Amino acid sequence: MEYILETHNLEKRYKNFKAISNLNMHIPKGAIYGLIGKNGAGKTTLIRVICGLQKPTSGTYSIYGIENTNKKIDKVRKRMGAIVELPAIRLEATAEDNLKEQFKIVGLPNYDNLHELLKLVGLTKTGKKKAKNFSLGMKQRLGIAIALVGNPDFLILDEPINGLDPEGIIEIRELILRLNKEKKITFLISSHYLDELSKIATEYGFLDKGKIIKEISKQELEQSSKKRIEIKVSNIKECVKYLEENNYSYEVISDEIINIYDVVNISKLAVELSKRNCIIKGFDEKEESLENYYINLIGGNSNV
Amino acid sequence: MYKLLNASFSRLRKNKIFIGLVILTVIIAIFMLVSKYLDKIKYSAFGISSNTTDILFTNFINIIGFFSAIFTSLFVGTEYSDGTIRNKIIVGHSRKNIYLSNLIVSIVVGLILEFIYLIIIAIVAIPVFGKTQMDFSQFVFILLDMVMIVVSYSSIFNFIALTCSNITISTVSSLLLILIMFVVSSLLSPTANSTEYIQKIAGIDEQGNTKYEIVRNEEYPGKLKQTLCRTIVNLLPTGQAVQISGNKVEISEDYLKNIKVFSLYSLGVVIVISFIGIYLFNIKELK
Repeated sequence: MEYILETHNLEKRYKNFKAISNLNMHIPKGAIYGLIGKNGAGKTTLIRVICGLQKPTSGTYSIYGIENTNKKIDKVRKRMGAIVELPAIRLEATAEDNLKEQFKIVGLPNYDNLHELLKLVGLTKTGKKKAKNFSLGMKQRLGIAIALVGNPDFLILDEPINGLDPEGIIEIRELILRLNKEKKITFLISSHYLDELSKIATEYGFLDKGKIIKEISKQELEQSSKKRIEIKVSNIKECVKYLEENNYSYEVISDEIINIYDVVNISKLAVELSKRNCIIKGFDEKEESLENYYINLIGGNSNV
Repeated sequence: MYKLLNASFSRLRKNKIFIGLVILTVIIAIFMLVSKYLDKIKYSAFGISSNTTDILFTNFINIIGFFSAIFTSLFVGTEYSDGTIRNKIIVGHSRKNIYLSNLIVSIVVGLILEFIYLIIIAIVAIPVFGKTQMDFSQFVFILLDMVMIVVSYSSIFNFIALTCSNITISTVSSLLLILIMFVVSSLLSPTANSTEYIQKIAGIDEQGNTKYEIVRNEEYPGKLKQTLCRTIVNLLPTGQAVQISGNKVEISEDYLKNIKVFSLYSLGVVIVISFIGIYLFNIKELK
């Protein structure tokens, strides 16, 4: 598999505090890699190191196979864009002027695809409005447009939907999916919003206490996720008795609700339970969420 | 580097601080010309003449340091406060190039302001107040010194702006530093320029003429202390500015010797500060 980004025993220490340690991460080409971790797990530190804003204390990382210790790393960086924490935009300038400056920084000879970029992020109608008067969502989209200058094929977004309203979240999600699909851009996205991340990510990396404790693809996650049937019954005792007698794996949730973790023929179950004076009031087939998987993986409170 | 310079100079064209400082420079030049013209009208009746053109020519060098401090700390500081310095690093520009490109922009702005002032003075002062009293070589050295003072200021304030990521702290520090440098220069200048022996009035001879005698200067600090003070004053751009500017009633040998080496002192300051600045900026943890 071709990896856009790999880290090898990466460590970043601030005096005596290890923000990240022995971190090994692999981002396949074309993936939308969701980086998941608690506050203080080291997500932003990792992104800062990868972006060259901070130097690793030990270990290495490679972008497109070029290690950070190699002088060619600066050339390779031209193929990536990033938003670290907040979008880096000139607040006193318009969206167009912000992009023009980035065109010059990247060294593009003309502004040929400037309007295409503005259109892509939905900022064509901002005219002379300064970026300081933009909504958070508009700033975020402008930040993405700036990161897209020079046609990078690897984009790093640190908490891209933080503080956005539902409409803004949908806009960013759709933009990411479109860029991934149409422009084949690989993404590394860190986010607190696991539900949102689960809608777009194709790969996941779970970060805890500065280490990647698990890397898993969406497919693998789905395969390993436990499916369950949640049933609501009138007589919980009789229902438990029946499930015990038939060796079903189950969990009593409340006086009325039971989760069954095996494949169940609902019609047969309903008939059998009715014989025992127990009626099924309702049922629902559920799949383990990314959040549950994360909680099970790290244990305890999610606090993502 | 070219890409960074291109981006910075494009930004400069719409930069309000730069435009504001250009306007302020023009206002200062006009104010100084008017003020000296009024002095001329006032004192010409008494037959007093002075080297007004020379004074006007060198006066702005005392102000340019403050302009450089304001511009550099705000121009570079905005890159930190807006976070746009990250955009340069993320796309692969080396920190050395980012540091040097900001230094070049700061120098160019300082020189633009200085030359705007000089051009206005040259256009108006020479026809009104007459030619400079400096000889050609002296004029060239002073001009070179002024250029290097601007470069020296830029290197100092660029150092502060890029090693301190807080725009408020870097602006206040830069302005405080230039004030401190002016105070230090003013305090050390008398010691730096004192001589071991001085001419003292000894009395009046039979014809009524004043008699002078050469006596030892009791306030002379000694060779070592004087050399130390002189070196400090000459290294500081404010120290050089204080010595170059103002009314020169008498041109001393020491002064003529100093103006030939001021630019070398400045060059030394620029090289040392820039090397340290690049090193510190290179290891700086950016957010």
